[in-house]
Amino acid sequence: MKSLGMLLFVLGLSLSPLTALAQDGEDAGESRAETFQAAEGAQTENIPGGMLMVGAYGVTLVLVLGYVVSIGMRQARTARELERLRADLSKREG
Amino acid sequence: MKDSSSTRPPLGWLVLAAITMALVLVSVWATFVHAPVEMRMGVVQKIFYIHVPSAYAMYVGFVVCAVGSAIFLVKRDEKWDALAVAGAEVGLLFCLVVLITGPLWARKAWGYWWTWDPRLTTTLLAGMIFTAYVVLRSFGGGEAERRFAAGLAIVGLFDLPVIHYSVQRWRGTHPTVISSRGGGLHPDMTHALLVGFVLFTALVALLIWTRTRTERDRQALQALELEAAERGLLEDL
Repeated sequence: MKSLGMLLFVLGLSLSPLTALAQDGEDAGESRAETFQAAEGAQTENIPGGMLMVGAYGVTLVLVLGYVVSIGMRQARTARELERLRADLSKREG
Repeated sequence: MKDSSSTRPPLGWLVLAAITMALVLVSVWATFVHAPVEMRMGVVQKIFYIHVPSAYAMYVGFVVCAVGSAIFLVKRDEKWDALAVAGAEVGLLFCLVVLITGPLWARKAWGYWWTWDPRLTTTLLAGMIFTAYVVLRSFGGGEAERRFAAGLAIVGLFDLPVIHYSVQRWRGTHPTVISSRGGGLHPDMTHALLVGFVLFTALVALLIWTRTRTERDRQALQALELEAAERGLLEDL
């Protein structure tokens, strides 16, 4: 009985480094574990700030100038119609 | 018949146009030469000098529209209606500038084009309300359309303080740089921003003035056609 206890003690002692090693192996593996997730947005890309800035100023310029041209065209059309109507009416009245 | 149209712009308009052109040059210098490049964001931060003044110009346009609409509903004077139409269009123009330049900046600063941040969402809502106003007015100049559109503009006015205070009251992504509670600007950046505000004030005034004149001429044409029709002069034309 005493020899059996001694045998179990020696066996346990001899296996303890293996269990410790196994424990260390798990920790090291966990510390290096990575989770791959789908990217949201474009954090990993090198975004060209200069192009975005030029785009912003360009779009603003185009929109403002486009609106000015649109006002000019509407003004010219209204003035033309007004002139034609006045001429027609004065012809009929006169 | 009353003649309210004039092809020659008034002297004040010409002076304002010249001042605006000069301010464009000063603003370009202040933005690209005087103001330094921001440390973390780099050159893309220069969008700030048109993005923020555009938002201010949008507020001005929408407020002019709502005030013009309210006075039109009370007085039924067409000149206020013309002012309201001009304010809505110009406000919408700058709203579009804000909604385009913002995402271009956000792409670099936040990593994505758009997020449903309270300020972004309420700005989009204002844009949709005043788009509805402009679309409604484009259907025709009848009394019902004008009155309904005027009411819509007044409803839209209530969204403006929500846009302004959303960034302080609700959690979101949009930053506050001009604030009494933190943030701040390099002095040279402040100069560029101030020039931007002056430029956009002149620009919004010039555009609203010009568009109001165009709308007044259109109203004159409509009144002339109506008067001619009532007198039976349009039958053979």
